[in-house]
Amino acid sequence: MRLNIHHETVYHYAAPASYSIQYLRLTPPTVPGQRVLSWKLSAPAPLRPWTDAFGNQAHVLVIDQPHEEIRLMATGEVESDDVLHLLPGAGELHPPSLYLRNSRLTEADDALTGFARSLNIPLQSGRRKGLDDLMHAIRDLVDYQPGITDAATKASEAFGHKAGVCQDHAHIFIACCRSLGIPARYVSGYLCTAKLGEEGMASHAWAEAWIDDESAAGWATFDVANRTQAGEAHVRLAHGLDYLDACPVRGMRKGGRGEALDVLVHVGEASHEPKRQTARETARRRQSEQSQQ
Amino acid sequence: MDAFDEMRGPKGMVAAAYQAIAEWLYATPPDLLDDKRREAEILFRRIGITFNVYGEDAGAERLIPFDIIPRALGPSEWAKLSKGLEQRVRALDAFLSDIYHEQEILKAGKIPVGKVLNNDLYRPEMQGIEVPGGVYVQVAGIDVVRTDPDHFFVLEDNLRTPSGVSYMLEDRAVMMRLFPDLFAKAKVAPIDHYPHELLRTLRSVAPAHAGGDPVVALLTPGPYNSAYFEHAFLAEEMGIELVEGQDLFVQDDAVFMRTTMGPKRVDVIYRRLDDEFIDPLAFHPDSMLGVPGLLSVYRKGGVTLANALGTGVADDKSVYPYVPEMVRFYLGEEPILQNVPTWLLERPDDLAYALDHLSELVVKETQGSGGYGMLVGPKASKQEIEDFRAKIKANPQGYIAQPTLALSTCPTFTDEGIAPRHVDLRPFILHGKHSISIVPGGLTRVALRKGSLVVNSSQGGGTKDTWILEE
Repeated sequence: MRLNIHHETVYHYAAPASYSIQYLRLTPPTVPGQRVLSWKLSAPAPLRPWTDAFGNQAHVLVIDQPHEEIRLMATGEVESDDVLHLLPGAGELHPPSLYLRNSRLTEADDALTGFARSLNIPLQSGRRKGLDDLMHAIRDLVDYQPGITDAATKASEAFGHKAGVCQDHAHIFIACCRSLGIPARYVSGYLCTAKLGEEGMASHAWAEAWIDDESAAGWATFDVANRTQAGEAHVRLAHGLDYLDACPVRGMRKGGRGEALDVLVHVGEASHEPKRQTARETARRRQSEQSQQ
Repeated sequence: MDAFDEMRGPKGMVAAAYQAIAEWLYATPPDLLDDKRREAEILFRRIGITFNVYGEDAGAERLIPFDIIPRALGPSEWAKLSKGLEQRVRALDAFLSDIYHEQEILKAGKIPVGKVLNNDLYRPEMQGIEVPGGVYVQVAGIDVVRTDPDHFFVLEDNLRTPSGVSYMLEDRAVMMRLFPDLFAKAKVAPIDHYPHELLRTLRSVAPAHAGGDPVVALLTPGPYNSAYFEHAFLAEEMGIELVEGQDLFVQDDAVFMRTTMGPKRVDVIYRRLDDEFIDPLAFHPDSMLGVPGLLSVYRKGGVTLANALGTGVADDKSVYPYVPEMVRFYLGEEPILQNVPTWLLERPDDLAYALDHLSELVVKETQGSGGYGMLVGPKASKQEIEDFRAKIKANPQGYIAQPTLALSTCPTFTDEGIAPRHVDLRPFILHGKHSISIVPGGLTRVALRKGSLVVNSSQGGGTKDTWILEE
């Protein structure tokens, strides 16, 4: 399926910022399952490309003039397969076992570890089926409910709330996998909402876990929020140990009090009307900002 | 415990390296030494060389006690030691280069994969980066101890932001001022060129774009850091800018510092700030000490960080037992310096042994430093041992155990007169693009409390001037 993506992120500041710097992960890679046919990323200042710690195509944006707004625009066309692929680990920057590391947002507490153990997921053959069960078990327990958690919420906290968004579902899944000794990681990307019918999820996140049995080895995807594997409706942008590594925008600024964020994402076939997805929040941290889904 | 005294030797004969010191001690009346000791203290106060003690009142500054009796090593002892240090640093650097590229040592099964890749101090951010000259550790501080005339043991490798070199330099300066005659009698190798050697080392690892005159700056966490004095001291001695994170910014794939003359590009950052705080967009999101965007410039080779990020995985105490294997694996040589035998308490057998022998062992946190969080079994109370037992049982992989070594002693000026006290030695090894250099000396730390084996300044240790005698 050919997907047209239009993703606009606008930061507004009540008082001008004097300097802003952002790491952007807004460039989808061509990997098994998706081919990027065209892509354009634009910003109010020159973008400097770099490859981040996990091999993602990233950019640095620096604005050193007073500014009251930062407008980021990513548009392009991606062709996605409906066949479910295992993403091979070969050729990546890191071996799969790296993704057993703890990370800030995915550290498992006793409740999560106990939950993961209780499912008796086979670690060798049958791992994939076991992880499917894990996905459903998490989704059964943790409601999709925006507004309870935020970008800095840890897996253990969201698990405690029994509520969260796709980011939290992915973090909980990852924390469970790692506590069982299964490499797992966070993927940020887009979802063609027309396909799955869920609201407000055009910017999306899911998890990957490493499968290594008689039949195949590779990264399998688990879109916990939607109880599905990532298929033709999913376009990946970046991966990492958790949200902080893979999020589309991670930035800091000087000045610029009163941050408000507008995000407009449209993913679909060209004929559909764009749908506005808006999230406004005041920056929680001094001089820091994180995009939120 | 009968420890080897470096001046008296096993047979009670004054060692050659200590000849001048022994004569001086014999000839100088004790009250004159006491006067000089007071004078030394006044000098140190005037210099302002202090350190902060963590776990005490915030910002509490203390003077590290200075012992006026030097510690001496002869030329052949130093030759062997420095050769061993050089070998060790080469192997540790080869290890870092390997684990951040091909990971051959992991594939060969010489070190468990998880011990490296899932180590908190391993940095995925370093993967695949080419660092100038292939050098990761430009400045190493390797702690060595002696138990007899012939053996040096490495106690720990400090490969992140090792400190203490300012004490080495100031101790010598004060000694020369107080006892100029003594230096006329002994041929002591000079050390005052250390800042020059350090700067030369740092310049040698500048990115290619910097050309022949790279700009070097020292990045400090600021005045609240325990080693701030040293940061300011070294920057001044080298004639480079002392900067905090807020003085630097990223623009156009480069790092700049704000100066009164406008922005100036920085090529090499001698950073005394921990990895976790260096770029809030990549590491600890709340850090205000670092430089947002620095990682992107670093990964593209636009700036050199000295030491590189992620060197801590090589000085982690649970990786330490594998260093001799690194020497064999990368250099094809036998290690010149020995490791202290180490029990890894993550291993059930090692754990069982250690729990049975806590009263004999030294137990350390795998990622600790500064003498914090350690147990010296023979000196600990029953209660302390039991408290430690509980901590170990709760988190065995967080600890290692080692035999309590009979550390060598040196004559030291104490309240009860001149008496032997245990010492260690931290030489500083500089690894540049083309060479490794070690200024002949190091920081001798002395446990001032009678019988104490803990030399860390935070635990009541003092320092001594360290002499390497020339032929």
